[in-house]
Amino acid sequence: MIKKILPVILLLIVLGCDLGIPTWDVSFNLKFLNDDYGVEELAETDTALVVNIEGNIEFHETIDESQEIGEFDIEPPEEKNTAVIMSEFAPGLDQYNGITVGNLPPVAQEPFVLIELEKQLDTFEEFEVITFSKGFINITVTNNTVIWLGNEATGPFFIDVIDSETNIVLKSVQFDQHIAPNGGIGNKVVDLTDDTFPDSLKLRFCGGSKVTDDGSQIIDTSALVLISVLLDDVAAKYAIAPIPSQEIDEIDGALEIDIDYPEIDGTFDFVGYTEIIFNTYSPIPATIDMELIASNDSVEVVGDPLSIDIPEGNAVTVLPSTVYNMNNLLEIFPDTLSYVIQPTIHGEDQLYELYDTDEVTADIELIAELQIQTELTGIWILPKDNGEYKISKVDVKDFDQSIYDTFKKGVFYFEYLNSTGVQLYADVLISDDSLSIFQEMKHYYNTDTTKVKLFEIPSIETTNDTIFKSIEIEINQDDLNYFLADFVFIFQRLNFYSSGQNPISGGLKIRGEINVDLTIGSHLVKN
Amino acid sequence: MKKIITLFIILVNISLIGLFNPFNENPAEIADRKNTEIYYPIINSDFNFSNSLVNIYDLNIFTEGHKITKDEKKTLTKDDLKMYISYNVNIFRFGKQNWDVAFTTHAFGKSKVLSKEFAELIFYGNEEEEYTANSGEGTKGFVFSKIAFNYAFPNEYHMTFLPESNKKGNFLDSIREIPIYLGLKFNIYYPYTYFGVPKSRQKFGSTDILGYYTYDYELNYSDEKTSNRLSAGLGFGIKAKYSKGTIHFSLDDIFGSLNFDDLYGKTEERIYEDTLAFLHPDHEATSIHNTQEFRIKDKLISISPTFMMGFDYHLNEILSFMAKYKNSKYEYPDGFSVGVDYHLANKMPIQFNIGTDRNFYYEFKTGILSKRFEYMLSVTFFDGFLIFSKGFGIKTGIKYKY
Repeated sequence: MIKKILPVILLLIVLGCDLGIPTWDVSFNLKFLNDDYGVEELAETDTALVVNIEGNIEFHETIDESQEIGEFDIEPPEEKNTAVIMSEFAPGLDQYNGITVGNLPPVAQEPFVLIELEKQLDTFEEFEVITFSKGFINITVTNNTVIWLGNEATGPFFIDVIDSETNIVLKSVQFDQHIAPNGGIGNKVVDLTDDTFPDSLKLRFCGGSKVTDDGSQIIDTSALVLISVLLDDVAAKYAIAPIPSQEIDEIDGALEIDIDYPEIDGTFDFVGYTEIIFNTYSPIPATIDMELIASNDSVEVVGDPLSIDIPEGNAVTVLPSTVYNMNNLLEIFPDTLSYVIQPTIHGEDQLYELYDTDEVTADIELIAELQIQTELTGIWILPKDNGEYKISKVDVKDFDQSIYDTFKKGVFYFEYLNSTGVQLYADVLISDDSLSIFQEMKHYYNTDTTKVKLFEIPSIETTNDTIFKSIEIEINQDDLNYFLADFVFIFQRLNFYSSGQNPISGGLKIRGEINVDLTIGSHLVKN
Repeated sequence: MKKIITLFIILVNISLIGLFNPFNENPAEIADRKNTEIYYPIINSDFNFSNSLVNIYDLNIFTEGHKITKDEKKTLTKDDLKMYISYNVNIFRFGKQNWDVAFTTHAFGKSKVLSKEFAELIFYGNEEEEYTANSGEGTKGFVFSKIAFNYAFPNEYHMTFLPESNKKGNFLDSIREIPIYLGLKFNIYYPYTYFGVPKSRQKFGSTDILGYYTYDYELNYSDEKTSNRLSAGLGFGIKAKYSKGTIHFSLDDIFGSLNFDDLYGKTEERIYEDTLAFLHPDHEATSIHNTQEFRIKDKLISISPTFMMGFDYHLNEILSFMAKYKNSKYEYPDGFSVGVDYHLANKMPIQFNIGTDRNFYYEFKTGILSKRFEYMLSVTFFDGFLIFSKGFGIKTGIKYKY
């Protein structure tokens, strides 16, 4: 019983005092910002931006490509010719020289086998060694003798193509048709794919034969068999050879520039130093022709074509902006940078050993210091997120009438060092509906403040490295009317001015403090 | 002989004025009681409330809508705001001659509601960079009943071990002759409720590198699941009469405790820290909120022994003085006090006591005194008078004697 009664008695005593919550004004100073925001941090947000050794922020992308040489051409080999005197391969008929065939004894009219004979061809100047990826050997035999080359009884006519140094038969060419006497021509084309030929070859002749059936023909043992050898329509997969100028397969590619670009309103130029550095390797001298195409959702800019010669082996080639300037490409704030690279190899002046699997590689660094020149009125930057205007919807249900009544006024103090080389203004637009924000976001100088609340943040000017500048922004209770809704929409737009004298560098040191006057009272006590 | 007669008269008077006896917690006081007494239930109560900061007039500050002025802010930030409340009620008390039984209920609470440093933060804003306080820590409140059985030995004792002298007026002889009374007490305690905040800390800072506020506290209290257990304690008292005065000494609540089983416990910790690096994309303010609930088994709230000693001196039949020191963990106010007692027409005692506890206090006591009936009314003001005091107390009592 007592347990129940005592608290009631005590409560009655307290209530009897008619206590209530008074009101009082109090002022708080809260430091809410003390931060350094250097270009390093800006660069960290995007892989396309880095800080260079001078401390300037720069666009930096690398194209890393390579291309196999693939099947390549050599200079078309010259046709090689040779001849064989009949007496060399049919010595059995020497004794009948000048006799008509009809007068030959029967023995001499019997089929016989030609004496094997080798003939050295002239050296090929077009290569030292070649492994064919394609090509043919085309052998033409013109038979000016009175005997057949090839015979049913003693065998077909063969020509073996032999490596002169090793005597290895590289190709054995059998003529399917016997080559008729007295001007008969035999031709045989044989595929050379995957065959390897040295530059020095010899031919070996062999096969069956028989004198002509035309008895009126006179045997002339000095008559010739003419042989021509042509390496036709050849291409190499390996060669030690002078390499004629020829394009290899082109490289197409694109860099996605993952910068979430804002919308820019105003005129500006990129005036910074740009540089393209080619780090290349090629087994043979080459030329790289390249075309850069910058594009975004609405525009495409094709850069001037560029061409560089690269030597054999590793090399670094630098194209400064005096030679090739990329600023016109970057000015459109591209989201894609496409490129077409056409390598051309050439090594006509000496022998190069080349495989089709050899590669031409190129690491191409695209570098551009961000140095922007605007008009005096600057440019307006409207931040976007995934292509949409970055209008923040903020839940302010907790900001109710009691907090509104509590807040009387606030003054924001900022102290800053701005060594970025650019001067910034910012406007913050607040409304309880996003449509109003959308309608007013581009009314930079005549914003309808009946639709949105406009907070103008004074200029963050450039400073020297040590002396802080300050700005002050006052917020009154009326300024927070929109926060009494459940949600507010907030958008900020930036004005950016740069004379273009310096690249963007340094950073922003900023300290923020709010002095807020509050009225505390019973309105803060809910229920 | 005259001295002895005078002493007797005084003793009779004292025995008649139990409600006006400032030492009546001493069980030895009833050693020479000759009558039977019944205390009127409930009416015999003692309520005291005080704070360390504002007087009753200043309570106007705490009216709805009142706008606090600069001077009032000064008042509210002068010191820690501590509050004390004590309510003792005599449910039943009956005594016959040298024994007595009393059933009382005690409610006691104390709290440091707001530390000075945090009050400055609340009323003036942050003028310093960092604030640390422990408002609320040590807050304690409990209610319990106590049944006390008092017994006083009716015989007087003397310090006969002192050597006797044959010289008249020898001081040592007079000491030997001092009558000493002894009383004993047996108490049973039954706890009702308990509320305590053993730990409470608050921090706030707005520095160049960090903005933060943190608080953490632990509280325990008895709830419907809590079971309460009886416990027992002892006490004793001595009363020694010397010349026109009496020396009083008592020690009560020895082994006294309040036993709770299965108290509710809760700790809460909230930490909010911001490194002020808002410009960094990965900036994130740290916010930690931990709450833990638990039960406390066998919570023993020890009641430190209540110690009292003092003396009174009767200048004549109608005027006496007293001085007293008391230390109690559940009665407020205590501490050191002195007082004067004047009997108007031998029927109407008027007492004025001044004492110091956490505050100075002034007690005015009066009533009606007769052979069969006593009525007592007392008011106490803390650190001032009437509406300029920082608290007040009311004590009432009615007693029948036969």
